[in-house]
Amino acid sequence: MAKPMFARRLSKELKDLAMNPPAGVDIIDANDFKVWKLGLAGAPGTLYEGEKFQLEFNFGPNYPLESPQVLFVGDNVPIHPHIYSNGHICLDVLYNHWSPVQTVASICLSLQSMLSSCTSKERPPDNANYIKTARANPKHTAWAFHDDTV
Amino acid sequence: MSSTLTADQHKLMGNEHFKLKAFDEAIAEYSTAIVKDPKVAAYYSNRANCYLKLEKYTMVVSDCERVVELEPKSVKGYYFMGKANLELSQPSEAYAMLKKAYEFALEQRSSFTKDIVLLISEAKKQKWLEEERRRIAQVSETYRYLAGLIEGDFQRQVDALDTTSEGYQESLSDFKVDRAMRLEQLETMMQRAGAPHEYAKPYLSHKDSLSNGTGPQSSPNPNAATTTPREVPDYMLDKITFEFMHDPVISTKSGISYERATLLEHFSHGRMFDPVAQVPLTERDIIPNRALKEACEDFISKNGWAVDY
Repeated sequence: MAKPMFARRLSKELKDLAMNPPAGVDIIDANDFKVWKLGLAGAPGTLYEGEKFQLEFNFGPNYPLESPQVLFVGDNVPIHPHIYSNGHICLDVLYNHWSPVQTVASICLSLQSMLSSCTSKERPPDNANYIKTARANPKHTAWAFHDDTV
Repeated sequence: MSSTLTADQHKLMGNEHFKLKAFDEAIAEYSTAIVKDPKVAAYYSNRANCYLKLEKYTMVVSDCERVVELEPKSVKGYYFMGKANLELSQPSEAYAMLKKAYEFALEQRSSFTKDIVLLISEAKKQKWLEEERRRIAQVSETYRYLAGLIEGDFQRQVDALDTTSEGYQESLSDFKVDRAMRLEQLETMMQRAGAPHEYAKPYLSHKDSLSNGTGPQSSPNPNAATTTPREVPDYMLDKITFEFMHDPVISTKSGISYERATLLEHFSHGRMFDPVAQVPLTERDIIPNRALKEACEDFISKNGWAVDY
């Protein structure tokens, strides 16, 4: 009969995202309920002002009970102490602190605030090592969330 | 050779056919199993599932009736029956069956629970549509009758007029104004009674042909019936699925309500916390939110469209 749960919820999220997008967020490509590409613009008054980034969301059939896979893609991956050069993001709400009431919009807001509170543009200290060993899916990484301040 | 096989072996063969989507062959095996042992509920429910796939809904219902006779708490029996009732456009029957299916599915922790909730919403919507159609038909019927009376009055007045008299034109236009006014009043009344404008339209055309376009025309806003915003209060939507809630439960740790089936599934992913409040929460810490459930039921019975919101 009807669409599965994750597709029904995603179609509602998409409608809402198109109508009230969070600041700096635009939909680049959301033609199915598997992969979405969103644009994220660095907020004015922050280190990322004027920069444009691309985010890729991969949803599994257990969304929203399981978190989506989220990473930065494209030529410009923000230089940030919690973002690896392969696009992987070290943010607890995407992994062990995921809650099913979170949405694509709320993830975008978390990322936006993570970027905005950054004080110096640099890669994580273990970047070189991490990108050599990391799997394609950041959800397979055993994240250690050492810094709660950023 | 079939005579040497047991009823259960026929069922297993039926299952193999079912997996390969050979539903007619599966039905034949289940039927043989039933002949050999007519007291096993699973033979009927498996056959009912085949009939569902083949869209033979009356057969589904009769097999399911047997299932619930043999196994009064059969989730599948009530679930398949409710599904078939829906397809047969019997939403009230479907609703009754699915409510039982839901009750037993919760008890037995059936994996069908979520699907049943979706179907219950669908049944509620169908029930609402059915009532809506009945109401509109009734209102339209009343409209047609009353408009006919107004039209009849007008005709009698015109017939009584002396076409050669001096004031003929003046009286005629007076009558037309009067008729247009009364029709307009009737229309407003009907719209208040809830008949969408488009249902009234077919009965309005004849008055225009009579008035030759000279009399004052009532031109109500064609969107009048559709301008009322269709919005579902956020508190009636599950915070996890964003669906209209059917069986809201309240977290005693936070006071926040969720749809029971989705919250239980959230727990089954090993996440023993309140999704919004992010505090520890288990199945023992939730209780039904009866007031909200009543509010939801009341709302959906008047706004069946909310199911697809």
